[in-house]
Amino acid sequence: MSIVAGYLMFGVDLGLDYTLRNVILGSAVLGLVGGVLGCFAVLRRQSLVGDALAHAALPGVCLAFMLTGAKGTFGLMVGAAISGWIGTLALLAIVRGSRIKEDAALGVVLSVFFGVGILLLTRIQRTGDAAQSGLDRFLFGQAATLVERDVQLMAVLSAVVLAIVWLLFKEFKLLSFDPDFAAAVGFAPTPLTVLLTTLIVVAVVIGLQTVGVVLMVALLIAPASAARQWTNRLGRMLALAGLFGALSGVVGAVLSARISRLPTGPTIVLAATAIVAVSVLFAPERGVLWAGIRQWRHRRRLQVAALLRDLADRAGATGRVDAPALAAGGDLRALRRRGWVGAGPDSAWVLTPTGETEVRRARRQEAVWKRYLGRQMNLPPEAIHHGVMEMERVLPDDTLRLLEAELAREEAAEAIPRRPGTVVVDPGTEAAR
Amino acid sequence: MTDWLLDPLARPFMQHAFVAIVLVGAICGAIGTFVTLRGLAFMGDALAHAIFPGVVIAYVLGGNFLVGALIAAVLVSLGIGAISQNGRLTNDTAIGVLFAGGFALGIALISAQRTYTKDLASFLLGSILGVSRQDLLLTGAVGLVVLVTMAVFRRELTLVAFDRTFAQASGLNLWAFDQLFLLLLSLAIVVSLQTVGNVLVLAMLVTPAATARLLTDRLRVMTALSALIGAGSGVIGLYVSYHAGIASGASVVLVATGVFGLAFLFAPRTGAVTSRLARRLHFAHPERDVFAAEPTPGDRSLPAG
Repeated sequence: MSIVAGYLMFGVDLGLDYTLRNVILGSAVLGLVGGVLGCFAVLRRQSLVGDALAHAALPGVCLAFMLTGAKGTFGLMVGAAISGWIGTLALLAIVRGSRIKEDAALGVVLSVFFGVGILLLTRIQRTGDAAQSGLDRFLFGQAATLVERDVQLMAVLSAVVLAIVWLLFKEFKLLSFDPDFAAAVGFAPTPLTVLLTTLIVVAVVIGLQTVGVVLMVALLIAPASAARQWTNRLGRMLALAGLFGALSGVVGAVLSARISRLPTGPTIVLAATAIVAVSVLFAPERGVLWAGIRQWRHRRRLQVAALLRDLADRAGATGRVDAPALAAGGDLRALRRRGWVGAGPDSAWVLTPTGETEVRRARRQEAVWKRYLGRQMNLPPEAIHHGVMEMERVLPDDTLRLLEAELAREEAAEAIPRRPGTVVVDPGTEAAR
Repeated sequence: MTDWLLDPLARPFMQHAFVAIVLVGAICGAIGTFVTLRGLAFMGDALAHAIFPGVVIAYVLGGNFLVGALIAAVLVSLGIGAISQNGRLTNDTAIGVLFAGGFALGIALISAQRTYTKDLASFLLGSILGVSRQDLLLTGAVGLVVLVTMAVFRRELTLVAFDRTFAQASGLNLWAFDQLFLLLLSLAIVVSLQTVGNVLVLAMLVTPAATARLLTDRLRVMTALSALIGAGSGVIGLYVSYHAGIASGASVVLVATGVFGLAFLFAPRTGAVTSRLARRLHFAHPERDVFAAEPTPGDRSLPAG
């Protein structure tokens, strides 16, 4: 469906030339599939597996090229799939049969397959006519060689992959988050893992001509990690990752067509990396930017609260503070903005009624908090500082109520103000201040 | 046979190549021990790829590629730390994103150059036959620095690698030693780039160390063995490459992997074939205690690596 829509949108309406249309569509399809499958790889902490599989495809491509001698895509894809598969099996054999860790085993498999691939490539390049289609084409892809039949093949493959993911969504989800439970409720983890790995091999095959084997891993990992920043739900993550992947494909393809000497594959990868950068910086909640702002605000709130309490301590019963006593100019402005202090007579500052309420609230909190820390946490009194004011966020409601009731029973209610809502400020005393 | 051995040695460019591969094999093999045992194989691969733009920029500007590579390596290792601080992405994902992005940037930069394909090929696959005397001196000096630093801080690096809690408790600065390790790793990778190329550095880091791990449980023995296997596979690989006319980087890696395969099958105690054989012997002749050499789980043995 979307493929057809894509054809209509990009191909016909924009009147793009044949090559560019193929490149754009091919990259979009690749990005979509890579993004969706990459989510499982990222969530299962198997980013390196995709990299190893992609590299392992190289010797198969070269062998297929040498055997068929043709530039036809289908043979190359089959070769890539077969050698990717053999790589997977070799990996499993090493991990199961020795004390080599998985990542080192991946490294061994990756490098030996790639080594064989390079060896074959040098052979191919020596045979002459294939020189220019050698290194570039297989290592980094050569999107300009895509023909319409290739794109159709890629579209069919990706439709199959997406259909399988859709059908087995629940199984893959369990496998990604709780493989033990998946095994316990009767899903067979090994066939599922093998299936998922096979799908990744198919994605590598789809990406062969566009980004090549070396950079393929980026299209698996980057869109998925970008999507992870925006959501906690797997379904949305898959959709977003597919979208990001397709977007980087289209953007990369268009950019490399517009700017001379900019190769397609690396440009697509750079577009995907840019999406990751934006997501890591700006995504709500997790984004570095928002986290920084939140932290700054929190620190500021604590500073201002501390200043207000100091102020109240100094002011004592009169509620008046002389201006020079307040060195912290910016913080004082913050207090005024919150309406906690106001200008009094003879260049002094006074606590406003809201300020008073706030001071009471803070003192009450402090007292309850100290009691909690002293009793529940068994801290000695000298270890309790009044720095932590966010008690209501930390303690559950019933604990809070219990502590307050206890304080009330000890008739400390005079010294320790109750919750702000319950404080009744006598207008008379307020005016007298 | 003697011709087979001596013929390459008569040529100056092959002499340089032999010295270079022995240096690189030993350096990578030694530091690869830590890479493998700490599970940092992907990190090594990522550093090798991600310093690529640094190399390219230095090359375009006509500066020293070692400096460019080192700057890039430091930036990348800091960047990986920063991204994985963000709770939703795991370390390997952060590494994957940065390495692919950096590598793509490098390729995009280099493809803007005129002699695109040739340069790219020599960066990716190394050009060991073009190693000059000056390159050798540089490689030797950097290698010396790496190995001496490793020897001096052996205790600290080991502690930080295997018992982080204890290391922290005894007052070591974990961050500083991690960064030191990454710096040493970057240095090893940078000097290897010219010899074996970008993609196959990983093999020099991982394969000899993994082989050594199959043969011993002692860290010191493993480090020495790994360096020896790295240098040895380098020399044999060069001979093969010279006589069979195949790419030197690839043939070195294939020889190293061949050695790994032999160890995987025939290592005493742990080999896939040997352990089966031992089991059969044990059941056939229970009086001969073939498992006597089995290590007791104890102080000196290493974690799986």
